[in-house]
Amino acid sequence: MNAAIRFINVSRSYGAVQAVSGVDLEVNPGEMIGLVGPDGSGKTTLARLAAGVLAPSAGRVEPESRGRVGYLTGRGSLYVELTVWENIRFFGRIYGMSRAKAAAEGQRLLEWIGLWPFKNRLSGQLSGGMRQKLALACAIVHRPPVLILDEPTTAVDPVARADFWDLLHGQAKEGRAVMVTTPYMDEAEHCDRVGLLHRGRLLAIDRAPSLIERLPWRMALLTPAPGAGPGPGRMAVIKVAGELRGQRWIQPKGAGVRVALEPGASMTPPVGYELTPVSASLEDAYVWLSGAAEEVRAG
Amino acid sequence: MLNRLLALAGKEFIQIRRDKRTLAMMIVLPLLWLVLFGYAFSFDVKEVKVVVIDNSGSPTGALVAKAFREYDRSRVVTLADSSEAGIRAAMYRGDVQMGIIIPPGYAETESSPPMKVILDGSDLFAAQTGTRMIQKALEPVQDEVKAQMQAKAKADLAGRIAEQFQKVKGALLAQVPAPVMAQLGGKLAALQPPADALAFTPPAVPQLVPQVETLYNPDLKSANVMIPGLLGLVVMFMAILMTVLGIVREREHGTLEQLVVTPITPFELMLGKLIPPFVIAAMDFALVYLLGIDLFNLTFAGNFPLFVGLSMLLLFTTLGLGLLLSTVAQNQQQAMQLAMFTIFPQILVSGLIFPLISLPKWVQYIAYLLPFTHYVPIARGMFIKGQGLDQLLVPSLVLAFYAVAALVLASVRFRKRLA
Repeated sequence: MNAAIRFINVSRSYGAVQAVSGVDLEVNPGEMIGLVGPDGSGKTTLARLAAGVLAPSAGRVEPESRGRVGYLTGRGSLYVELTVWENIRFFGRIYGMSRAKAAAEGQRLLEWIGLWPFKNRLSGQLSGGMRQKLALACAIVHRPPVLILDEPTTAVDPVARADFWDLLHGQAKEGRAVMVTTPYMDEAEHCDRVGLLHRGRLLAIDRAPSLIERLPWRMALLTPAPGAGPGPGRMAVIKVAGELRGQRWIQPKGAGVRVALEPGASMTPPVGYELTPVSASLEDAYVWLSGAAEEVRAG
Repeated sequence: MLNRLLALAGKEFIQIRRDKRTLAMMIVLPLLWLVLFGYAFSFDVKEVKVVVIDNSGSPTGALVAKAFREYDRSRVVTLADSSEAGIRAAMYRGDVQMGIIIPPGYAETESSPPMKVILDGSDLFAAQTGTRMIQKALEPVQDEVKAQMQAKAKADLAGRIAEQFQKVKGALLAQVPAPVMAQLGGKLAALQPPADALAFTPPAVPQLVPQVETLYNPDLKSANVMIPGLLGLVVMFMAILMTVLGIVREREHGTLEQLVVTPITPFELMLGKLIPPFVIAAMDFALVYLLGIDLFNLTFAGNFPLFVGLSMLLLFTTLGLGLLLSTVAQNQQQAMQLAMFTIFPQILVSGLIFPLISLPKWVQYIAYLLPFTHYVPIARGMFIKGQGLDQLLVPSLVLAFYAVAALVLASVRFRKRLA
């Protein structure tokens, strides 16, 4: 199958800062790829390279993206001084549609995202969720084969966020190649494949369950044993977790602490505590992979 | 291509229409400047505070004093101490800008002392107006003064003739015997000629006061000189600000990135972004032109289509500059500052307000590098004098060069910045 968008050993630097280095990546039609990583990991640069807003310093992005991608960012891709209806017609026409065609397609899309009743509202006065839905509609008004989204749900509340992701899945089902960046691991897990970014490098790209399976650690939850009395305080639990043998990292969660244990480590809890095995998450896999990458860097 | 261009330009106009601040700036600013440059930037002094002290005791002195007092630009001040020292003290206090002292025996004889005029140099424009008005104030009375002086000369002569005649007559009569004398008496009296019968014309007093004719701007109104230049100023200001703000706002909001993704070419984008500033600058030009002519009773003397064409060169230069600035400015605030920084030196050294000649040599060299400096003589020459391309060839060619250079340079840099 021909990839809808292909990165071949792509690097990009801003002056002395290396934002992206040596990335190889393919997105196929009908596939949704999530790129996840913290701020500064190169997500936005990758999105901009894919959209053709930036040119790579080295390597190639194929094919030429101008006119055949829909691009939308969480920073705002709309004209806030224009109404909903004006925005979508403007983008239609900028993509070369006639006035009438842009209006017809715009109306269809606004009805689809449920914004037709608000068509005369200034887009600057929409809620975050509505605004991003409109931005999505504007980005696909010309029916592009590729859709690039850069942190599209940053300013969107959780309910609207789920709604938005449903729309995205619909886009992939229609056959579009969708590439979306996000700082949220739980969002990335919705994608067909997830790429983990760390300091401008693509650590791994695979289905989320496969990435999680790679984790060599066992995850467990340390909680105080139920019993009479007030039990140990929160700080005490964290302290005990930190002293567990074979512990690689800990993360306070509710009344307990999530602990990553080396494969051979004992699962016997200290006195007065319980240690329950829990399933690993994508975030666990990311912590492990990025830690390993750091060790390689440190030599 | 045209569809995309129209869509982009149309979008710009919607944005401008919804932005109250920009709208206000487009309409209020040219009006404000029109009033400021037309009225406030006026170096004409309507009235000068004058003290006239007439110590002459002669009718000519009184006539001159009256002429100064009644001149319509004099505001006569009376002082308790009517001496030169009194004038100096009043001038020190700021009560008086001009003092005129007519000395005793003024204009009586050739050796009589001249009239003395004291001016307050710290009040520059009042002093200059005072110097000019000496001549103007004396114009209406100069015929009267002349007639007076001639009448006096004639009377003097008649008196001297009569005196001489009496003397000769007395000496002659002394030798005449008494009987003959009785006979002669009556006839002799009739012999003295009346002065009028002498057919004597006193020597003409030369016209000392020249006839001054000021061409092109007879009333020396500053509005006549300011409004033409203001047209260029308004065009420059609007064009540069609208261009740079229009582009930088998109960069700031992230929508420029959105446009780069579309099939729109950098050339189309540039054109679409320049059309609205062009239209707005042209509208403001028309506004200032029509209102300026109406408010200040100006008449445009030259070839209007040519003037519009040459003004267009300034507009293109400025659009190019705005485009260049937009590739440098990161946000709207910087854009604003850069635009101001580009405009204000041009206002100061262009010759619009201060004559170029009066600036230091090295500032003049800088001034000649700035486009607006070449527009001011075009605007003034065409507006007031009706000059044509023959007289304005050099500034026109310089402006044309700047227009081409700015647009080419800007479009190259704009494309690079987008890529």
